[in-house]
Amino acid sequence: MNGSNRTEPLRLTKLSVYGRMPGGERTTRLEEATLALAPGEWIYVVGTNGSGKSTLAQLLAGLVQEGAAGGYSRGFAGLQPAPYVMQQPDAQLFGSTPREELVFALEWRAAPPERIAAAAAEMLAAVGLREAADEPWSRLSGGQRQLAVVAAAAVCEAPLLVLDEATSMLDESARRRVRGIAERLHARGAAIVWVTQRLDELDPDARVIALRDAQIRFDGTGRQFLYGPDPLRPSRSGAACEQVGLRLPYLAELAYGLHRLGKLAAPLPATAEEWRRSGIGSGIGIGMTGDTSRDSERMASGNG
Amino acid sequence: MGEETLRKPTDAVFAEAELRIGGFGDRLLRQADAPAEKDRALVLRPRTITVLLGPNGAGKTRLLEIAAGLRDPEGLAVSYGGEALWRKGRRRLKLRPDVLKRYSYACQSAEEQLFARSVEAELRYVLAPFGGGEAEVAARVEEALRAVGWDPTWLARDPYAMSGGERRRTALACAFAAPAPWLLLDEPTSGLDARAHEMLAARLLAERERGRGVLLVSHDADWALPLADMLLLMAPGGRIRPCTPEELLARPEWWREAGMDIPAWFEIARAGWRMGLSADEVLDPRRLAARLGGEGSGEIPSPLAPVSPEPAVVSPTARHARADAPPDRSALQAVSPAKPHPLLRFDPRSVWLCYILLSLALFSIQTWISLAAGAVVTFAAVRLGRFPLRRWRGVLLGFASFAVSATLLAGWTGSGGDGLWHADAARATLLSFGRTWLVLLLGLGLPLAIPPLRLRRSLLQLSTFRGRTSRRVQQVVLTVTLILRFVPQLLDEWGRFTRIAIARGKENAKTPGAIARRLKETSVPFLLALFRMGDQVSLALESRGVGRVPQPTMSERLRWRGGDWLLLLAVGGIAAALAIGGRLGWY
Repeated sequence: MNGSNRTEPLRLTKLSVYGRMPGGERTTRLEEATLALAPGEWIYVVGTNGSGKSTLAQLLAGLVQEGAAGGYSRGFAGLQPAPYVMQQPDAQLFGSTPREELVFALEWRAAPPERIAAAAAEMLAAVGLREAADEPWSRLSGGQRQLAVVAAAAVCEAPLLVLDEATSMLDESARRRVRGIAERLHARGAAIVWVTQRLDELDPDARVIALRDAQIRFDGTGRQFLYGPDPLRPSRSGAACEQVGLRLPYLAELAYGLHRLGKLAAPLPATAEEWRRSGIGSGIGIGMTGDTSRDSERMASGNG
Repeated sequence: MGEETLRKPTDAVFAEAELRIGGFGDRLLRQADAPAEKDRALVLRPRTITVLLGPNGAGKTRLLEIAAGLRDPEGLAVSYGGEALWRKGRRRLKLRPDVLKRYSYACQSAEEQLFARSVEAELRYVLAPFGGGEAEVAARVEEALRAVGWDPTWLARDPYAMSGGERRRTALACAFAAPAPWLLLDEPTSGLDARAHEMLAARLLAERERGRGVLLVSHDADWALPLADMLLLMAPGGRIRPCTPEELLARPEWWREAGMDIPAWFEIARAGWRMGLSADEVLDPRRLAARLGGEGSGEIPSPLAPVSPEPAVVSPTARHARADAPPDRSALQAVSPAKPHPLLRFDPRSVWLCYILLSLALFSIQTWISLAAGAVVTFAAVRLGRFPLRRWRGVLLGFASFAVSATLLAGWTGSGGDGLWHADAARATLLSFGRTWLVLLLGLGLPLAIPPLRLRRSLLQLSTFRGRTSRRVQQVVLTVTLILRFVPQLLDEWGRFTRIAIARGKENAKTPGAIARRLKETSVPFLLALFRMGDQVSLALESRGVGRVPQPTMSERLRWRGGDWLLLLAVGGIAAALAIGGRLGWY
């Protein structure tokens, strides 16, 4: 095991995890996963419930998995486990206020005592919890509690951060803030593992890992995930989204339908911006800027 | 094919009932066509699917739980088919079991509530309150399986040996099985695969045809909107705007008004709608593609043709909406600072020392008068220390009633005294239970009032010798503080499972039999939830590196101040007065 090399990728080689159901039967939680995560890389991990994505995420974070067998090298991530954020904030909060939580996290990461207060205050401000820093959890919303969890994970400045459906219980604004923290760490060189069920969170050019039945079925870009391996020949049945059993989002479904009828040329659009640029967007006058009031004023004046 | 034969036994039960939730005041915005005089009540009609949308924290789950009678109605009046869900009891509101049978409820992650060891047992448990002969029950069981795409071979399967998705299906089958006119579903699709999404959508449409009403919370807006006859857009703070999907297409700014972003797909759907396509057509991407591609009947208006269904003036509403509901504030409403807890002003060590002194004094109580004095002191402490005792209501009441029965038992069977009633034994028992109860009152409240990590800090400081703490002490202290940390949460979980047990068992009687049944249905899911939580806590701790480093750094030291001496002196004096005064007969 190599724990100190800062440039080596984190590597899983034919790694399997076996477990038991509560009833006692043997199950395979992850089967022969092979994956390399480079320093500073951002990957998405998707799959339905029970597909093994949490097991994979925990392995990447370096958390102990009983019944694991196969090749495993921590590389740049180091021997310490990486901060790992789960969906429900309440099982992950040990302090009684956001500030106490961050201080607790920093103390266990053996941060120098004189730096702790300042680092905690800075991170609290960055996630927008400055005013709420000393409020007990009962006075904070679920979104604010989850922000505190993410802040406590991010404040350690670890080389890897794993977010396991960390935003699935959050509304848009809190989700954007969590995303902002992850992007900030990523910009400073940290690798990010972003596990999600929401396909609209995927960046079409980023790397996506898709699982089904405990196996990694797909490792490619977000665009390939939706539209198949060759962007110039979109194939619904060849696309990983269909193959791992995830529901195709509305816009991808529409793109396939239009493509089939010859109304939309490949490569199919995968972002709002691409939709706007595609013939369809401009053809039917779609204002994708989101500023609908101006849009409707224009329509109204056009009518008059 | 089998539809016809199966309809016979169950169809009659869906006596169509209106779901009415009144008492919103101005939190319920009026629908465009509603008469102005009508009081602010939400009326959901049978044979409709209503989708409740809103950002997290807006209170969607809470509203669903209120509709199911699982929490205090907070001034809302819920009725099914004109029958109120709550009736006035002697002291507080009581649920009416007959009205509980008007709905079937599946909470978020409904699979967590399963407790039986076979699918059949689970289904029969849910069906039991509805009665009916064996043939009828068997038909309902079979139909419920069919609703989730299963055949009868699944009946013998054990939910604990299933995958998460299969367990969810079992839970949804239970929701469909009950012949109740309303289905209340909270995030039924989260984490399910594409086929399950499709199956559930088809099933909900079929249930609507059969006369049921559906109230559904879903984050998958592009999945749920095509199903919806009516939408409820719920903003943070609880304001609700009822509208149809068509109205939302006309007024997309209502997404923002409710604190949500307008989804990109909705903009595209809306563009199609402005071209004159119907809401049904544009909300289903396959139909929209077909229409834009020239399939289907009728002409598509050219993109440049004047737009017909667009309301002429939308902008004033839009501006208004933006002014009073800034989109970015939802989860992060300004918090006015709480008044700091009075006990936080002291070092936790002095508070705990005071607690120990008082407890010792209470335990030494021997006479009724000193018990009364002890009670006064205890209640004063609870009051001044603002102990959140409401959480422990069940435990405290349970202990009190146990004390009374133990006293009666001692009185009948004890020795000493004369005749049938052994007064001395009864008195002694009651006295000893009484002082224990007072100690319990203090002891249960204190951990909730002192933050566990502060306590940990102080305990570690106490046990530190020449700047080092032994590893064993560290571990013990951490374990104790974590247990204290999670006690309130465990109590909440227990409460949640008890409430859902009432919703599924349709029974809230206080008879021993009913309580025992509910206990079973509560304790199994609770224990499983406990294990899950334990797993999560240990993962979180491990990922934080807790326990890995022998000696974490300490960023601050607690100091023992003058106030701590004062507190200790005051409480010590009171404790001494209690203990000694009783003996010396001061009072």
